[in-house]
Amino acid sequence: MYSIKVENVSKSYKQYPRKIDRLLEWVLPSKKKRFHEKHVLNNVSFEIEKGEAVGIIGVNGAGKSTLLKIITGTTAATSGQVKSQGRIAALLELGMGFHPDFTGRQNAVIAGQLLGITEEDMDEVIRDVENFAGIGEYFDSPVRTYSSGMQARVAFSVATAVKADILIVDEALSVGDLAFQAKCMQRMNKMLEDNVTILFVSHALFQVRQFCSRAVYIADGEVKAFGAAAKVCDLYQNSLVENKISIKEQENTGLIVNHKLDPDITVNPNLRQNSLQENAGSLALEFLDFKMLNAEGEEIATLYAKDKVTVQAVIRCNRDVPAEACVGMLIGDKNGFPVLSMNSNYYDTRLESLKAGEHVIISWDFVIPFYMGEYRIDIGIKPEPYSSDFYDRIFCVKVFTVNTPVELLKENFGGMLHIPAEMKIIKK
Amino acid sequence: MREILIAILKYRGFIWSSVKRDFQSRYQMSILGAAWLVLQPLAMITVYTVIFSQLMQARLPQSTGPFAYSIYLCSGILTWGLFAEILSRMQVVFIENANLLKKVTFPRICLPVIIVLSCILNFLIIFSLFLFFLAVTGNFPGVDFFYIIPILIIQVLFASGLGITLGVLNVFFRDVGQFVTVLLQFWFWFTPVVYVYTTLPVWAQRWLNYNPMTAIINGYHEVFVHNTVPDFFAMKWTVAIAVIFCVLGIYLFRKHAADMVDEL
Repeated sequence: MYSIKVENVSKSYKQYPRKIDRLLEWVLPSKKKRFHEKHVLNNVSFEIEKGEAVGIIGVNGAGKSTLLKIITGTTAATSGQVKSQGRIAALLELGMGFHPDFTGRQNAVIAGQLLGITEEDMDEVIRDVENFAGIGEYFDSPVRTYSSGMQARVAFSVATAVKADILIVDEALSVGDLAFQAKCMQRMNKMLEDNVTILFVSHALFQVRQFCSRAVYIADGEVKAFGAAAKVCDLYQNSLVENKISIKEQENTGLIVNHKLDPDITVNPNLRQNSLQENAGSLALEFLDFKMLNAEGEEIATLYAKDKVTVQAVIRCNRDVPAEACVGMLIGDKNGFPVLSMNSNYYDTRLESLKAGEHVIISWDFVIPFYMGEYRIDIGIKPEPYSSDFYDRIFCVKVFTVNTPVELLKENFGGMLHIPAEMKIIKK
Repeated sequence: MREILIAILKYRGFIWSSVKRDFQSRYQMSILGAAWLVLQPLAMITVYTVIFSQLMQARLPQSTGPFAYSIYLCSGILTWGLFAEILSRMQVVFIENANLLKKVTFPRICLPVIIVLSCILNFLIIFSLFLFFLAVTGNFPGVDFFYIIPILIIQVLFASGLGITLGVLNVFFRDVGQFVTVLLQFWFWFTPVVYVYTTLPVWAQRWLNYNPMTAIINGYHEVFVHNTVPDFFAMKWTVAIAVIFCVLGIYLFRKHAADMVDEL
């Protein structure tokens, strides 16, 4: 028996070129179409079983939140329908529509009433919310004084305090601190045991992999894939890379014709999309491309612990430079905290002197030491290791995810690294 | 219509506690608290009494009592206040609750119901003070007092119908909100609240009769100042207009409720 059935759901927003057009449409009897439609969802269908956890993944603006809103019922589908069984508790866009002037307690009561909790049950529910949110005396202060994390805590506590048949969570866990995230995951696991259906949007793919049995991948308002969570996540992460390559190939064909470049010298126009122009240096040496390749030479963004990778940077010389330049590579966690530093000089590698117009490709071959998590790479080139000047520097040139080996995941592994250890149990 | 009533009934707990919270939140942040409820109209009444009764020597033609003009003013201003409050809060009801509408699923009709109830609650508190004043000064109209109940019902119906119409329109055309503020200014002075209807020239009276609120306010005056049966026949157009706006309001609400969230 299904718990949620989404049938051919489409959603489009009416956009009126001028404000007056809507008024004209309302008052004039003519059937002339004065708006153009912006399609957000296109013919989306899938079915979710009772007691199943399903992740919804996709880039920002793919239509995930709109889909959840339609399932919850806060907005109507333009065509198609959603059928669902039982009470839905939803946590959309990090809030429950809290009123800033009321206290957390008052807001919890309002939310409870809207979810249909009776007078008798309310006291118990509120006590549970207060305990679970764990924000102390802030619970009786107006919500406007809360941090976003505290709001998320109360919102999650309220949404899950009620006995519901379906729980819908839209990126709720991204704001809370780690301790609260862990608590949320525990509660959601408990709910799954109680046969609650959970629909879960997250950009933290490891959470989707860990928690959900199936996943829906949405791109441009359409279902690109629906199936086993691990498979769909792989597909999604690798498609992020493919997108980039297709752009690059277009640009490259132009470049190759114009400059007669070596086919290995590739240019990635999106290389600096996450980095500020001010942060780049003199550009005497300039990065043109940066790639992470697997053993087969394919570009990747998702890999498993102990995978062998090749990381490659393409550098162009714009002005003659002396020898001894070093290329820096820093791998940080998703907050940018440096975790692994791999500057070329640590491995006794420096560039020779270069003439304007020359190109070099520098590469690192290594085994991924991480066991879990999302990482970013920053790169830079300096004239020599102690210099404060940069030839070039790019922050967050690449983002990649490391997936935990399934056998460890099953043991509920949590951590960045995993090392061999001798274990003993001494019975006394 | 039926499902709207069922929804209101089902969510009565939410509606009622929202009315209570609305009342509390309005006054809990201020030192004087609920006293403001009385102070605001009291200040307005004092200003008008001083300017019109004392400085401009406005007198009621028939009545002679020392409080006659004050009673005339109070019965008009307090009831007009109810009308204006419903209207001005209704036109922003959906916009102000955008945050809630976008994130929680519940029957949207609850929101205007909360507004109307909380306006009525405020009105009853301050109006009972007025009645107390009437009783103390020996001006209470007696059994005739109950004639104001049907007038109040017509007035609230009119304000709610017009209010919900403007509330829905305001979501799609934000000009409506600006317009209502201006409209209420004009409307107040085109209604015989402060000045006395019977002292106006006949041509002006004829113009005022096109205003649906004239018959309503005159009705209150007849009960409280002249202690007579109000002219219900004169209110027939007001009743008709009230019904028209209620039907229009519900129609617009049902037709566009689904699109509203996309515009907020």
